Amino acid sequence: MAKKTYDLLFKLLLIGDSGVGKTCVLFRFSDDAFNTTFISTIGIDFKIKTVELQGKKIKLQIWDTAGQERFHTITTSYYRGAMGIMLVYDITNAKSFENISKWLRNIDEHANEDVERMLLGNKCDMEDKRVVLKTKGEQIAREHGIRFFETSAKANINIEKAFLTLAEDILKKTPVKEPNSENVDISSGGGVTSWKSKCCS
Amino acid sequence: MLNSFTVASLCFVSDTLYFLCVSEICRCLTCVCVFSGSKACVRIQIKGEKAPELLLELQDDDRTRLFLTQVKSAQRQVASKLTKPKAMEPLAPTPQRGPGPIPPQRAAKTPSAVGVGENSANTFSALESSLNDSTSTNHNTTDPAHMLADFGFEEKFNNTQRVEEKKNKQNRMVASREPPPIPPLPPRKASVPPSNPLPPTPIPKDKPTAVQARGNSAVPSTKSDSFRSGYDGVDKPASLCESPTTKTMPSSPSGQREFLIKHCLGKKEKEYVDIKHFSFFVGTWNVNGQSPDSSLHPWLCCDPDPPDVYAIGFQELDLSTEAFFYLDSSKEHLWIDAVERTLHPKTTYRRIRTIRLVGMMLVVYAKKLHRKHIRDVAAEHVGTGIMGKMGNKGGVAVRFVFHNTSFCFVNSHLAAHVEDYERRNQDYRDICARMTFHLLEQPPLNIVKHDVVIWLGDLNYRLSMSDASEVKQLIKENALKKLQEYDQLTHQRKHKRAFTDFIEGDITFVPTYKYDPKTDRWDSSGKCRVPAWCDRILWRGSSIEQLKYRSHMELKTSDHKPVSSLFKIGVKVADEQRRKKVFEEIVRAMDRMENDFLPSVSLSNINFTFPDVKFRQLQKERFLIKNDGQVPCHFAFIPKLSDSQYCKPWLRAEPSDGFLEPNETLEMYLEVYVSKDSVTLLNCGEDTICDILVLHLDRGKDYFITISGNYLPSCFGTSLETLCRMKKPIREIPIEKLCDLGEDTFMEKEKSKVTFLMADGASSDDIPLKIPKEVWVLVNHLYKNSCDQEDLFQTPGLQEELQSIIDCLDTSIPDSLPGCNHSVAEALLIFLEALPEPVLCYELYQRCLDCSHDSRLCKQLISQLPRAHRNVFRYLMAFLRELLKHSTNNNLTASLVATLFASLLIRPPPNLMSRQTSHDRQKAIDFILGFLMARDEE
Repeated sequence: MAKKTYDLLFKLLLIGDSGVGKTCVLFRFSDDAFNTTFISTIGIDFKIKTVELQGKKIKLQIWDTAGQERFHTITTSYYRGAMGIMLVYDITNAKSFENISKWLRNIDEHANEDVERMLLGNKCDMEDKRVVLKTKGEQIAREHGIRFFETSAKANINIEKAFLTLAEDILKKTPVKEPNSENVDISSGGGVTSWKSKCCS
Repeated sequence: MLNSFTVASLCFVSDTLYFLCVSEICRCLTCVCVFSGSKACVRIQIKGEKAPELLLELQDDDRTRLFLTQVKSAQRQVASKLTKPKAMEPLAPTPQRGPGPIPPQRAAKTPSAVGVGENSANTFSALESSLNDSTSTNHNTTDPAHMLADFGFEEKFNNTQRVEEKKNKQNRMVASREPPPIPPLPPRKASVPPSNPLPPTPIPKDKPTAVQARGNSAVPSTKSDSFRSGYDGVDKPASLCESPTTKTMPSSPSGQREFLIKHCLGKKEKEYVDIKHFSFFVGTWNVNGQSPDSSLHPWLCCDPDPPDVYAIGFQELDLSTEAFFYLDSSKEHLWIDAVERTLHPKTTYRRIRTIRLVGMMLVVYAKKLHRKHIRDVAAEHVGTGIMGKMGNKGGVAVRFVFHNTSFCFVNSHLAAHVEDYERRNQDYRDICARMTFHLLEQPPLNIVKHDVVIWLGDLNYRLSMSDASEVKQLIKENALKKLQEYDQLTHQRKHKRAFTDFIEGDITFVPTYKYDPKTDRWDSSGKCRVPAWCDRILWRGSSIEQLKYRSHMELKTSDHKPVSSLFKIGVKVADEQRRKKVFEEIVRAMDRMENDFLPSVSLSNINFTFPDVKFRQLQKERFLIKNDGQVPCHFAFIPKLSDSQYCKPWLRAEPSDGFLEPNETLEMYLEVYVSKDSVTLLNCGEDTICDILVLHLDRGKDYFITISGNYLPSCFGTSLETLCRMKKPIREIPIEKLCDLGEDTFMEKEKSKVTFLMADGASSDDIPLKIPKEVWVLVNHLYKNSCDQEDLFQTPGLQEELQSIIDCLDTSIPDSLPGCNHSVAEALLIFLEALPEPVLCYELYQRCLDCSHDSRLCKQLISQLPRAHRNVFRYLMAFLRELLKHSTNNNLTASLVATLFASLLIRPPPNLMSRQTSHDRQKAIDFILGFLMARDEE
């Protein structure tokens, strides 16, 4: 028996240094696939994926950003309105981890105040090349009061879990809708107009 | 009026919703409404590619006319949308507007084309609100009794009430000529709760109170059902006009998605349902207006095991005029009580629905444990009595979905009299054609649209034998088979006149009509009716097995005997696990489709370098943009967050926005051109040839295009002070130095010059030049070569020569300049025009105008200019006066020269530019003129 569902649209954003695997994380989650060739994201891309949480169908619209330094000023302008931000570093790249605090500051400055943040240490399948200890990641996450996962888009470790956890955290914050008010439905197409008016106003 | 929503939603549904059709690129549907009027009513015919053709009739009154006007205007709007080029409309199941992070100032640039869905949704809501306004005014007239109560299953079926409202809104829908559409179904969900929430149906004290179903906590009054009886044709339009309006919003995108999912789930049903068998007890009894006077136990409780579902039909429940005219019957409750007392005691039942039309009543019960698997309950009635309207004959029906199988039970009382079998056939056909169920979010359903249909009732078909005694003899001999050869129903079915695709089991019981009441004796009245099998139960559908088909002689209340049938019916029961899996697959597929249908382009290059950019020298780079997605896309360069323009002033993208069909490629150009407006910041190093353009796809991603390059500074656009401090050509001065040179404001320059020249060390001479060497070179060249040049300053120079003059001044201190006199003359004008601070400083602009009438004041003003400006001004004036001495040859006049140079030397500050009047301009000209007419002084 089909139960009545109320679609929600959550907008998530992936940020972090260039080459840490943001696009791969997204690709793994949306298409359950992995591509080894590195193509730097020059711009802003997004994919959608519908998940079911607490009996609600939730549409995640996940934005992938260019990580290159030269684009930072531009990409920060996309933070506004994101309900969840995944901050990704590469456990085999110390610099990407050092930059985490800079990224966190960026979030503070440019994102919505109530944005749900999450820290991901990606490429955890490459244990032999690890330079950032897991405890380091855990520590900085704890300091900022955010969740942390070590993930691998390649080996499909924790990717789904991370997204679902982030979505769940956002859902917890989302005010409970009247079961009858079907107009809480947010465009399945994820039009910015609809969600702007409903979520960022 | 109240049908407006239905009609309106149909219009819009067809336009907006189907675009999501699974994996097919859908065409926008056209919806044709044909209006035709007659005296009494207005007919509306609705055709759509996927919607059923519907014919509606409305009463011709003011409200109808208002409604029609609204529909027509909506129709026009839809039509105008449809005439828009299709290419501009996204075909993908994608959102309407660029989603997600608010891209930098994206909102500032609204795309010229908006999806059809969006537009019509707006149109719709506009229409909707106006409709609501007009309907909300008359909701007070609503008689609560009009609202159908639902029986039991409050939370499960509480939407039935809304269904009823909706149904009431809809006028009687004359049978669809084509079967209703196959899903995807147009969502017709009420996306907003009714503006005036319905009060719970009150139970009037002076009316019989509700009958409580056994064990059922809250059963609302059956009053409303009672009310529905009577003049079928009269009753309906009345309720039509009075029932409150539920806001319907058919086109919410999530609704579309919901329906698509539902449709896909339906298509894949086989993958997740199992057939499980349930027993259905179906009973019919014409009670001849009697009240129950004995237990119904022998009829309803004759099987050892309790059936899962009971469907019990009565005819001639109430023969009183009261029931006929006042639509009310106390018998209803008596019989329901009697039934509920005798439902199988081994289990608990819940009443699902009751419906009554005059004497016909149908009541359906299901085991308590099944209630959560029963949904979409609806009931309807059709009168076929006198004038084809009255409710003394006709049918009542209840439909519902049990697990995944849809059921429809029809209880009918067809026309009487032996010879009138053709009337009975007609009644049957009328009921089939007119019985339509209205559910939320679904198109109207008719009887045959159900998986299982069970038709019971006093069908009134008789035996084609006139001799009652012969019949009775055959019955006595138990020659039922022989007798059945004369059965009209069997005959009519065989000849496909009625109940064609229904099945009836073997009749092994004696005719159920007509007995002397309270006996088992055949009718002994004067009429001495021929016995007949009036009371029958037929079915259609698969997986149906009739276990019993019998009459119940023990019950003697009526002149009919009750008949019952026990069915074993295979019901599609969904396996939750498998259903969920299928569901997830569908959602995945839809996500995938949505992702695939996002607009996408590829760019042949995203990094552009412009080397050695110079003042007034155009550089162009070409690249290709190709739509490599599956949908047409609109692209545009959009400003970044803090900017008002999409790029720096020296850059331009051509075109800056456009449309691309899939696979279409477009040539794009990036043009770098440093004009007088952008040169100064570049000269002093405050700006560089460096920019990132954001190419935004409507409803899609953004691409970043990086522009880099280097700029070669020019004396053009550099301030007079800075130039005065440069002893060398500007290109030979390191860029950092240029920044320093530009830093000082003109008031401070005198103080700083010493420091600068010391620091510079490039020159032993620590005094700045009196005038910039470039001014000197230009003027000196003209003075030497062009005093007698015909039409000097009135003939344009050559662009290439201008370029080499500029290069020459930037890289050297030439004795003479390349190019013709006209080019050099224009170079001078360009130099003056490009000065960041005009020769007559902005600060003194107003005073300059104010004193233009007084040459003494003018001179005073000039003496207050900063040194470089003062010198340049005087130098130029002297030169111009010299030129005017040669006016016979160069055709210059003082007023012409004054006009030309006033516009370059005396410029209003940028903030006053727009307020400059012709009067101001004349004053500036007068100012210059005063100097031109003066005698040489220096």
